[in-house]
Amino acid sequence: MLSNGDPAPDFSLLTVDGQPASLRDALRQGDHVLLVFLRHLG
Amino acid sequence: MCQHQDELERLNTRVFIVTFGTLPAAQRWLEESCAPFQVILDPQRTAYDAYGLERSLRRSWNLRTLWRYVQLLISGRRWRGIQGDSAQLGGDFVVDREGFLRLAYRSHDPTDRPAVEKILRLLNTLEEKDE
Repeated sequence: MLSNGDPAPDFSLLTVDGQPASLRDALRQGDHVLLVFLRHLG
Repeated sequence: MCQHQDELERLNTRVFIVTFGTLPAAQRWLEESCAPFQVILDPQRTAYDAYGLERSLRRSWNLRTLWRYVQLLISGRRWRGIQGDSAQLGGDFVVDREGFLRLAYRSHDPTDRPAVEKILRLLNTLEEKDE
C-alpha cells in the first residue's frame, strides 16, 4: 500500500476535452500536484 | 476545494480531478461545481487501482452517505443517478514537485475527505521548504 514518501505512480489518461494528461508531464512543469479521486458523492 | 483556486495557484499546485464517471457526467459536474480544474476520465479505474483505492458497497452506501444525499436533495440538488461503479471509493493525494507522495488519504466512505485546510497547510510547508 502506497504511503507518504513513496514515489507517486504515473498515469496517462485523457481529460474531458480529450487532451492527454499524465502526472509526469504535470511534474515536469515544476508544480506540486493535488489528485482528487471522486466518489459517487462527488 | 474549488473556492481555494487562487491559493492553490499561489502555492504552485496543479489540481487534477479524477473521475470514473462517464464523459457527459464529468462535463456536467465540471459545469456545476468546479470549472477551473482539469477533470481526467478514468473509466477503467487504472489510476484508482494504482493509488490503492478500494471498492466497497457496504462503505459506499452507509448511513452517513445516505444522510448526505438527503441533505443535498433538501438543499435543491437534482438527483441524476449514479454513473459508473457506485462501490468505488475515492481519495486525495498530494504529490510534491519531485514526484513523492506527501499525503495519501483514502476515504473510508464517500463522505470522508481530508480537511482542505490540512491540504493547504501541507502545500504551504512544501513551498517554504523549496524556497
